[in-house]
Amino acid sequence: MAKSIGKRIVKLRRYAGVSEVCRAGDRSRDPERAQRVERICFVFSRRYAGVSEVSRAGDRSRARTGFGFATVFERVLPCGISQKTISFHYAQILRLNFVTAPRHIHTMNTRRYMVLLMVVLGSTLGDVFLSRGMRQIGRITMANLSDLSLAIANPWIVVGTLLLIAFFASYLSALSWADLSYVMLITAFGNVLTALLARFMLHEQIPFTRWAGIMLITFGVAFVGQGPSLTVSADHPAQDADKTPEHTTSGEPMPAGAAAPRERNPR
Amino acid sequence: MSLHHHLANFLFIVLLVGFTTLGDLLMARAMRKVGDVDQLRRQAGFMGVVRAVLARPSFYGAFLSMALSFFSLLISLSLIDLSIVIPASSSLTFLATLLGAKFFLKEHVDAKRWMAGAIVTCGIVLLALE
Repeated sequence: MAKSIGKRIVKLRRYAGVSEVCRAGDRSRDPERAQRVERICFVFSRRYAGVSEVSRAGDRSRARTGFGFATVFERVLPCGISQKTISFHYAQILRLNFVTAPRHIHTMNTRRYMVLLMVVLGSTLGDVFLSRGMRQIGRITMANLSDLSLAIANPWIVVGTLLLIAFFASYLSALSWADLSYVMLITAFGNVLTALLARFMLHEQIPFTRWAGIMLITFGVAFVGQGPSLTVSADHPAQDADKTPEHTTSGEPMPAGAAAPRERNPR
Repeated sequence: MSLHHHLANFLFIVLLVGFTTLGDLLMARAMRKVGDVDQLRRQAGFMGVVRAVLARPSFYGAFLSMALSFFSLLISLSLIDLSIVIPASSSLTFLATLLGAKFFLKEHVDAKRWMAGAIVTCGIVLLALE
């Protein structure tokens, strides 16, 4: 066990930088602690955040002030380091099996929630505007398919199309830093807006069942919205090469000792 | 409304669901390969992002699927109420995309996401009820 941990430390030094790994190396000699996610995360963040910033965070953690992994990555992100580089090394660290089960990482911040809001608003308002425009044009069947060309001149359809373009750009952006299964769950809130807009703009009636549906969707979106947004698999590091680790959640024991007090360096 | 019309409506919704799901999956695959576009924009500028996206073959497949999905949507909206088309196609697209994310994109769809997916799908079905 100790030997394999030693090998891991050698590899980790290669990926995380020698000087800063020394501390983790000392602690990792304790087999029980070898897989502590917080240590890997700390080493990893030191490598990329710049020592001074992380040292401060480390000092706070030693002072038992509730230092968390998220705190470190808030400091990592503004450093202008390539996220591809971070992701590559993060995947390598995962492959060392120090981290047992971090299947999701949290990549969300306020700006990204705003992008998701744009996805919801763009698609919802775009659909409503298109619906209004198509009603003005009239019924389209296979017999008069050419009437679709009239859509280009209809202002409702033009604005609806512009909104859908904004939706599309936001959607592409979201898919680059979050799972499709996460983005689609969050953007399902658009169904609620669609129903409300259909009620107030198109004057359709909303019976009790639809209000119940609105509440269920809202609950489902809120249920998953605060959770981790991106899959990271140690088995498929190449697949995760474009991901931005901000802070991990292992699903079960959350980012491990993220908030745990850190020991003093024995060296 | 005749059986013929019902079948036509059903066909357009199935086409809408199929093209939307395929487009989403291919687009997610393309953007995963491109990486974080915000970071890429800072490094290579807006045109760098455009070039990176256009260099992905699956983007073109996604674009074609989404274009077909868009026209299916236009035709469906002219035939059926918005408040029916959107929830009905969304609920089916929802399930198909969740399955696609799990098996095609190899995403880790955990119990929490399945549960949220089930809750949201129930909500969408309730929205679709007359």
